[in-house]
Amino acid sequence: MSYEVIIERSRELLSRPHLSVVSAEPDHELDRIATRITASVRIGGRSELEALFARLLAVQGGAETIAPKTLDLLGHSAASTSQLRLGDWVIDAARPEVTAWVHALAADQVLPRLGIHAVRLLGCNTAGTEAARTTLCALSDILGVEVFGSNHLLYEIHYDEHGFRDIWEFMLVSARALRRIDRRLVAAAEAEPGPCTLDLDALPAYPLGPRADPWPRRIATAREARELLPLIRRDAGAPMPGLGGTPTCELALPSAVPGAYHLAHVLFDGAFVRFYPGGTAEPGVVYPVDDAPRLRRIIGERVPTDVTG
Amino acid sequence: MSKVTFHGLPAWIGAVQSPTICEWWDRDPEHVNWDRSLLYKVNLSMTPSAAIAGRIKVSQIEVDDYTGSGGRTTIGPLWPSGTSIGACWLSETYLDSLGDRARPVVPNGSHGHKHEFMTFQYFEGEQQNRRFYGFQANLLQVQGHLSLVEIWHPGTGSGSAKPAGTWWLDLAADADPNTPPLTPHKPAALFLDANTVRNLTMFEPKIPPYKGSFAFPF
Repeated sequence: MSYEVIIERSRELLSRPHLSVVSAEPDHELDRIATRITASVRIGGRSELEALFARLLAVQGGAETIAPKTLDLLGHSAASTSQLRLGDWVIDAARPEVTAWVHALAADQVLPRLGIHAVRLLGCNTAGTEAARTTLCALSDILGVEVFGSNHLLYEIHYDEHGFRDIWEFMLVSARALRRIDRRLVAAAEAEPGPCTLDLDALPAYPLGPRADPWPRRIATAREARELLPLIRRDAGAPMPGLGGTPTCELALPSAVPGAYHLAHVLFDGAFVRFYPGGTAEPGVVYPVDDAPRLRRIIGERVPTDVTG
Repeated sequence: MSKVTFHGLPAWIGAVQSPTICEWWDRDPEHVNWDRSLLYKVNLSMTPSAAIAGRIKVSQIEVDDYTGSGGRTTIGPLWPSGTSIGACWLSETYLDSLGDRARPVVPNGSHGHKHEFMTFQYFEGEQQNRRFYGFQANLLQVQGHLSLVEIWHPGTGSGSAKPAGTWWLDLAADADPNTPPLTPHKPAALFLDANTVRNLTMFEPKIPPYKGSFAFPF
């Protein structure tokens, strides 16, 4: 193949919304798919994929615009783990040589330089086992792009001249969705059915540092904390879904550890206070206040604003 | 303003006529001796999203969208690669058209009320294109504009299951305005906005009942 033909083919690959790379193993089904896709590349393993990237980067180098695209890796999945196989190379993130290679791709920013915003492992059930799902998530973490697999059988009808057809995208599942499903299942299984009871001593305590929140922070003494806590209905705590409103102020209550404070947010002009038993990165638990005017008065008149944060 | 009510039923595909048209049983075919006269026909492309896009009229909607497209239906959505056993969320209009053949709208083997297997979808008007999911809920107390509500996972509200959790909710903003309000300590139907439900940790109803649960909505 002449140099000009290689350049021309590479440019055609780069111009498409899907960069379709098909495993070069001897297989009639993969042959049919590769024939159906107008511009696809057959590769026999990792070194050939690396060579393809090098060639495309060389061609891409002079281009003014980069067409956004997905990197579609097409092949059969390994029998026991459902991980995608490209020629003699199984994409298994548990193998150090695989992750090292992917780390190198990420370090050289190969995907963004080629306009690749997502990687799709298009083989049967490439999200069908724990090992396969772990690989999808690991690739996504390393590469910094979305990575997709499938829980279905994928074959010839799912492709046309442009590659994997958009109408079949419902058969794909993203690493982000897999992580979200895991988190939600765990959260749902661990959820407390009834209202929470406030146990101040069980709350995490933090040293007070700089902060960027626009609302003020007020630091209570132990005496003021003792006056404030009885105003809170401590057996009626529950999460409040959604954004939950802008706090009136942050309240720092002294803990048993000198210099460390339990943090809370006063909401809805003192009608509620939100504590963070799982840490301030979690959504928190909201408690109603029985005497909001008194809570506002104590905070407003006697709890000083932190002017250092 | 128009509103479509969907009922979730289990579905076993018995025949496929086109990429989106199929026939299905609402019971395990083993239990009805694979009787083809009990098959229902549905077009999985006659959905709310098709109505919102203007491809069909609201009155033509047969079934909720596929779960990956914002709906709750888990069969299909395209053949031959679609899912053949799952949930089919059918419009009330479609169910009415079945006449005497219409099945009870609480799946066999579940421990939920009828409303736990219902979704409302509004079109235009004051509610825009909002959708609301049905739950069994119990109002515990009210503080200002927020209500402390315990809510059961859909499909578990009539059994001995504990509530899934308790939340402070702004029912004026989060609940369907056309459903009777909750009375304190009297568990009843609550239809919650889909955006609110995303922030609760809840499971989809198990349809068919022997299917595993999954957090919803995707």
